[in-house]
Amino acid sequence: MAPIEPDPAAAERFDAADQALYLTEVMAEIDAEVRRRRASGDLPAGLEQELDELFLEFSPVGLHGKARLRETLALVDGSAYVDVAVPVESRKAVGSQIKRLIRKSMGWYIGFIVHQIVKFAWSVSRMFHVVVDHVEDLEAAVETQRTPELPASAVPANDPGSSWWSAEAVTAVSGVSGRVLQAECGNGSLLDALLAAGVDAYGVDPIESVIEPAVERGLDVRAESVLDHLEVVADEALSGMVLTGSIQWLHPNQRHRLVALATARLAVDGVLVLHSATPESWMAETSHLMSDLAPGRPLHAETWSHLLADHGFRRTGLTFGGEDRRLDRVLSSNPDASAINGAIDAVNALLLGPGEYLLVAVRER
Amino acid sequence: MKLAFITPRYGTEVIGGAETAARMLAERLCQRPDWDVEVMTSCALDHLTWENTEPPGRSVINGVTVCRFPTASRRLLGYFELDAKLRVSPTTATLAESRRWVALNGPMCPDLVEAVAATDADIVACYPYLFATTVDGIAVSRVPTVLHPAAHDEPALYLSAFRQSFRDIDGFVYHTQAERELMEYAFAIGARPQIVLGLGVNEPVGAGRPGGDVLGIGDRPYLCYLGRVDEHKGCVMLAEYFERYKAGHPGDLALAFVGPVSDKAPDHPDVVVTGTVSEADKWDILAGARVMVNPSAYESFSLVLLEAWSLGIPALVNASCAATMEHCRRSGGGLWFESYRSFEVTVDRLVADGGLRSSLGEAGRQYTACYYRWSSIVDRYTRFLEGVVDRGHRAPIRSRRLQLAVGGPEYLRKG
Amino acid sequence: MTAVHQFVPALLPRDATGQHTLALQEVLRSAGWESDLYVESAHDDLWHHAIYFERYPERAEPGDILLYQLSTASPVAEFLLGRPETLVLDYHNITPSSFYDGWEDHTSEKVALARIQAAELAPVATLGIADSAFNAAELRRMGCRETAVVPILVDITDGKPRVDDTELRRLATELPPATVLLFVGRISPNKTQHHLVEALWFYRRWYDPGARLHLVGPSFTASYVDAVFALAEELGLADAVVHGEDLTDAELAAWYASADVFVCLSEHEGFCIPLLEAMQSDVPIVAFAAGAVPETLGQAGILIDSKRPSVVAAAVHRVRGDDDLAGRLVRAGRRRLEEFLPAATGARFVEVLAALADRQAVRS
Repeated sequence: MAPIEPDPAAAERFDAADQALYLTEVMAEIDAEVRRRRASGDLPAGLEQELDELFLEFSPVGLHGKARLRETLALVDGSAYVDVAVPVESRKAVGSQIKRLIRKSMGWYIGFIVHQIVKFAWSVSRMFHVVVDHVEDLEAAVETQRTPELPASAVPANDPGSSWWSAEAVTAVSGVSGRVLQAECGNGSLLDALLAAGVDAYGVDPIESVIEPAVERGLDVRAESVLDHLEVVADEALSGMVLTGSIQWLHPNQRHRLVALATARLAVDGVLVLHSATPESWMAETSHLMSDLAPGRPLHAETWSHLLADHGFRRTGLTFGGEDRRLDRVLSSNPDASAINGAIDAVNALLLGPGEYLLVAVRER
Repeated sequence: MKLAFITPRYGTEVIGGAETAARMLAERLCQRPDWDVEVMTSCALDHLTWENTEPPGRSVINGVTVCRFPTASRRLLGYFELDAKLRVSPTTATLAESRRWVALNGPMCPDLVEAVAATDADIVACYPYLFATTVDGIAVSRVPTVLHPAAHDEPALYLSAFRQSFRDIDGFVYHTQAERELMEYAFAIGARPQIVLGLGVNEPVGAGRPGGDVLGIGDRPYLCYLGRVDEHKGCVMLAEYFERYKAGHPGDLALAFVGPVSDKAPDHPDVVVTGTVSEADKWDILAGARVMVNPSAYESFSLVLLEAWSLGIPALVNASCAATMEHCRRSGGGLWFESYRSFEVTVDRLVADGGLRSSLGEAGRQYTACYYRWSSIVDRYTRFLEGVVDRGHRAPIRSRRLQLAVGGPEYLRKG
Repeated sequence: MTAVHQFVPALLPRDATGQHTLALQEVLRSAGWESDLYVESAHDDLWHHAIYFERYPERAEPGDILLYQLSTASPVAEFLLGRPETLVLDYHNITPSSFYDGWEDHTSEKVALARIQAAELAPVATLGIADSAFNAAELRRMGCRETAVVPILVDITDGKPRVDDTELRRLATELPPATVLLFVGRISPNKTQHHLVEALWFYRRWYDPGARLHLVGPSFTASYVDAVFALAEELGLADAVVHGEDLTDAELAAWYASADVFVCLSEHEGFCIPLLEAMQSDVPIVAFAAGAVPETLGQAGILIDSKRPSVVAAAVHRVRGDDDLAGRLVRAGRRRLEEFLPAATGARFVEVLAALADRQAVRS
């Protein structure tokens, strides 16, 4: 193929800023092409990872250790085994035979010594494993100390399938191809709606008794918290997530972890649907026990948008709904209408706006 | 719909938790009118040697069509050397080394693999994770594939060959929640379709005789252990605890060890060792027990616990065993011990308190009836399989089969 | 006038550092400086250019400036640490040892040692010259107080390089016509040629089932080379991935001339001369933004921030399918080359070293 011949006259027209802008447009077009391919099924989930992992077959072990501690430990493990077999290759033909003879007679003695060494090495290695386990337990304990649990009795029951936002949530994820997680799924009513719409949905909810009916119906529902669950999900394994329930009052540390995990576990172009009460209505509606003891409290929709945008999400929808406790204005025929309505407007603005919202976002590159 | 089971061994003579479970599931499933079941397995019955003892070809066992394929080699001595090395550090083995381990672990059945690649089944189920038939079956299958891992927290689980193999699985079928948690933690497969199925309990087939008569101890009360009598299963520990207990609490309480004996415990006047017994005897003995004791720390499911509960007999288990503890906690049908002290206190209480025994036993009976009747197990399984078939299967980029190292001295078990 | 003597661990003919060192000697001598080449080892053909480094003390003069070509571990570094003369580093970057871990332990250890030596030299050097701002930043992190960015001296001209016609014909006839992706560079883990193979697989799947990847470069890390070609075979690309080695300059130019797109997915580059070679042969470039690649490339190519094979394939396709874009990139490449012409680079070296010599003269 012949390369491109540069046009000398055109060189005069070169402009750095112009070029930069042009290249940005080109990059956007490239991204759009990839997105199009993904949507049309030319880029099945996990295909790129599978391709990359294929290379592992030919490369020396690449440890997937989470911590340097584990990697060092694996190195100790690797050297803990001592090979008994004495090499017998020799350039001279008879050299090989003699070496074999010596090996046979010395073999039992070498084996005995090596056995002692291997036992010792294994006990040292074993000790390291114990130390690493203790350190990891310690790290986990420190983490949990900062994130208190809410008593289960304080958490209101969850029937997401019959909420004002169910239909919109179903619409938001009905186009994706791949697994969609609902957390927390409660009795599975929204899962039913998702499945009916052709979505490959499954759910988690920390309370086993709550999910019993869903399990009976044959739904794929697991009794665990969303954070515990996402820890054991592979990167980019999910095409969608519908989050509701106790994610609203997560401790800030846990919320931070949730956003990081949600980003990592969602495929590019994956859809995140988040339902939450507004902070104002939550404080007004919730029992004192709940609002006092909850590790965190709900965020404003704009705050969630900001957090998600920081992690590469693009908001595609925001709807307010739920019980609207705003007071009606009185008719203007009422003689004190303007004063009363002024007061009503002030109260409405301060405390009792739309109670909940549904936020939809897409994970970008 | 047609399901093809792939297992390394199959048959009524095969005694092994996973293989027996596969057979029970196959036999129940093929009774369903809309389901066809075919088992693809090797001609070997001994997993230590992989010697071809059964003739190749089709046969029918208890209503299930079984296709046997010869193994390409017996177990090579090279396996033991590689196993010793990888056992110490499974995570530092290269992918190539771990695949070689799987090939040496066997059974290598090239014809079976061809048959899987060409199967007309709608769905393939591999059982358990550890063998070459499973890894190759997954690699070449063109239809949706599920795996019953029957996994324990053992060194082999961490070989990278399995991690790579699992990514091509469309659904996981577990015995217990504990197994699911282990697998998901080890392989980050939390998002994949899964079901915790367990096993069904067979109908009691006792002859109605008092258990004490069968044992020859008259109407003395007794604790019952059911299963292979083996140090690994905690039997030596149980015998020692019982001896200490009897020393401190004289009385007519006896202990019965019911099952084939591998490790013999010292003789004791209050201990009865029956050896292998018939099914009828087993159920009769169980029905007459005060408590069914399971001292093992390594159960993957413990069908005997459910069998005891199906008769309303309470259970006493080892607190360090995840599977049996899970059953006890969920059912409320058993108690547990973690030391001699708690063993002593618990046994004392159970023997003395008939009300406690019957409420525990009743809770266990309800739990078993609710979750572990064969009909509901098969219902849940078929529903799960249908979901997996609906989702479809994406064949791996390349379907690389295992390769066996050329030749090598073979292992033949003596005696 | 003071002398500026160069020290280099090894003087080899077909090596970027070697070419640079020889070219720089010419530049320094033309500017009027006395300039010798001190080496630890040299290729047989080049020994007449070089002096064994331990002989420097017998030839040292007060006011000498010593310029060390820093790119690998060497006893020369230890030697220079013990010398009182003004030390200038010419830093060409040292690949982090993590890239070689598991592939080639002795190389991994060697580059780790090189980094240790660099960290010892940086704080005592009066000036650190670096090929790129990326390299200069590394020098400063290692403790070098003053740095200057001067590109490496490359043998490029305004026009196009001379092409070996026989090689050009061979490439055109022996291999079937197809889209050709090209990368030039030693086959080693930091240049991630295996990602190029994965990208090729995608490109063939989506756009051109007959596309090929030409990899030109010496087999530096044997185990990695084996792995790359084993991967290619595993993916059914054994005939589609072609390796070119031991080429003359004119033959190399023929390989560039036969390419449609130059694709670079390196994880770590201190400069990346092949980018300039591609520009000189008017081949449009798609490159992953890592190390000094964005600096060297400027706007003369498509710079991608993701190495996913899907993104690489789509980027290559975008260039292939759009003559206007390709034309603009090639024109931008010609403009970019002007910054790296030897005359300009040489002048910059002289400027930087003269300023240093002046400051030194003032102090003494």
